[in-house]
Amino acid sequence: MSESFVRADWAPALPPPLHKPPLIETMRRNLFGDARSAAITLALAALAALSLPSLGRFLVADAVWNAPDGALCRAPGAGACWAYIRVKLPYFIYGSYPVEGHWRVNLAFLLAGGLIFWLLHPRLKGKSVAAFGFFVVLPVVGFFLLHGAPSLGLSLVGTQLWGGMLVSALAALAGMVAALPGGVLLALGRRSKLPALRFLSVGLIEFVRGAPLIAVLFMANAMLPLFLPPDWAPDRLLRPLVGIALFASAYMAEVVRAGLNAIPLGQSEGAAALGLSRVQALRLVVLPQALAAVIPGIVNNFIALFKDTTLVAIVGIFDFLHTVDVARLDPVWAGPNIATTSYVFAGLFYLVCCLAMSSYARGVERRLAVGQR
Amino acid sequence: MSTRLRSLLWQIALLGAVGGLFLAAFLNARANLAARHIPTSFDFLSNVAGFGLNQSLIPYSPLDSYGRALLVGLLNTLAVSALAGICATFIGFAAGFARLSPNWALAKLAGLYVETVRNIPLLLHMLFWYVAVLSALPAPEHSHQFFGIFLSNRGLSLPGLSFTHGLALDWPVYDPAINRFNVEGGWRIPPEAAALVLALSLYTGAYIAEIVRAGVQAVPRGQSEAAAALGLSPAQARTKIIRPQALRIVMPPLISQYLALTKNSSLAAFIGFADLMQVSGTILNQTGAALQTIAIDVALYLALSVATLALIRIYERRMQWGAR
Repeated sequence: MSESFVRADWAPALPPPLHKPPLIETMRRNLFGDARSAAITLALAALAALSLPSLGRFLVADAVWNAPDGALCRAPGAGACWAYIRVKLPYFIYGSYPVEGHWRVNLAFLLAGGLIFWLLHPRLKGKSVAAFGFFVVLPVVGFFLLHGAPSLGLSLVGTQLWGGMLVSALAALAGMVAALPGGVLLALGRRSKLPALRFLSVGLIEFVRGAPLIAVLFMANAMLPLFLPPDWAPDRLLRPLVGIALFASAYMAEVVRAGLNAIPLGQSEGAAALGLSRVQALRLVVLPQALAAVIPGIVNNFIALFKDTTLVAIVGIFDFLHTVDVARLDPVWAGPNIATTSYVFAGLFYLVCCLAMSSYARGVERRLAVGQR
Repeated sequence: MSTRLRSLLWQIALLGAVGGLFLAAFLNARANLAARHIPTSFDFLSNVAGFGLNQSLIPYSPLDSYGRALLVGLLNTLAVSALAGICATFIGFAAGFARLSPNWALAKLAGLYVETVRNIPLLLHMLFWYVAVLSALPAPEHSHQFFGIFLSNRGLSLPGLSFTHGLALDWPVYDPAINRFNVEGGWRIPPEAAALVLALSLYTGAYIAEIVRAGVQAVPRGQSEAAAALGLSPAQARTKIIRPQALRIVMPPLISQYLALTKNSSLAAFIGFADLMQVSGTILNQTGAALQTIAIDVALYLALSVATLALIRIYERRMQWGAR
């Protein structure tokens, strides 16, 4: 009886499931999955068809690439005025730094860039030499190179002439160089067992994080000269740099603290059991793991810091964005498209720099994840 | 020497060093202030300000005091932050959900918005909207107009409630022969405020979008699988299961974004909108009372952040019962 429930012959074999559906099928599913999705896709396609051609015309086809002055850019129907960017580029890079001294700035850029590459590239050896070069040698050499050393035949160049990408890079580097050690110290202070140290660290961190950067810059600019003896009067470029360093350290402290909190207590207990002193345990066991755990946070902080350096313009410093914003007022080039051209150029500059930083961070994350598996 | 004694000595030394630093700074400041004849009390707050402000929510004239000017600035900061916060929330939630949309084109577009906007400084956004977009609008006599709304390089004019002739809708009156330079009547949002709100809401919106996306993705996949097993449609699972849980994760970082937005509104100083920072910058330049004005600024912003952090604390405590 029971045989009637059992199949006698084999069912026909189904075709094997597609390991990877064809491209057309994927696109159909992702763009026209249901009626709503199809409507969205069509609306976006219409939007692109309306906006992309005119955007392309403005940025490329109708753009003025070569011109001695603003006449061509002012002509009706002209697009972006790239000729103006080309002419003003030295000002955007060096500010008012004397032309005969541009090689000094280039050399400083090259030195800093080379050291950063050495520090960050995973295959290059001798990181401690690179770190020494970056944190100790570079600031000293850079100062004499840029500011001048009459005894070495380098004429003095006052900081009021510095500007453009030079100042943006300087402010960002000053913030980064100060933020890592400053942030680590403040974070350790905040976790300290000594109430006085903890209280002072928390006070400084929360005070700086509670105020907008502009207030901190105002403070550094107006109050630093008041709090120091009259004959110490700090340089006008140095004052906002101090403000930025303080601001960046306070934010970095919170990132580092998150990393320290993520390290299990067993790590420092294990280090103590192996006979390491408290400082050794911190330096060799806890901090390396804590910092590695928060690399994305550190890089995000650096990106935010780089964008925030634009605010030094409030105290009259000519950083990159400020030079761009001042140059567009030049009557030789004045025209309806100059402002848009300037801002598109500045936007591309910041976009490229920030995306480069975040893609490096993703690479490091991936490498660390591989190492931990 | 016992550990206890040693730590006590360390702390005394630390406090001594910091105290010495403060004392030196105080003595220097006293000498410097006296040498430069800078006022050292808060009495200047009741002096006549003497400068006009282009936007004010309360009656203000140049004959009013510095203190009232600061109050105008604080109210402007709060108003702009509230407006931009509301816009940023809408933009951020829309972009955050769009990034998770099954529609590939929509998700990519939202991703493009987030990645582009977050990687460009806020100041550049603000200058772009203020200089390149709003200043390029036509003069008032050639305003774009739709449904009684006027858009020109003098700002956005909306129909508003008028209290002068009883309670009535006050439509912007437009008469090119009489008024070449302005659109009179109604509520006017000046271009400075409009640029500030646009830039702040688009910039913060990109950050909120990332928070929303992270919040939704932080809900364990088992939740949507269980919802499907119970027979809920994907749309039902999204609105009834995923979103309420995501919202709970999203809330604390969202509140700190509002705080960041309020602090970022101080960039108004760059485009001449009379917010707290711009007003106090003007006062600082006129009176030289750097210590007092900056102290007032920092105290007000600190009060705002303490209030915000307290809000997060309360929210987290109230939500504790649901924590897994």
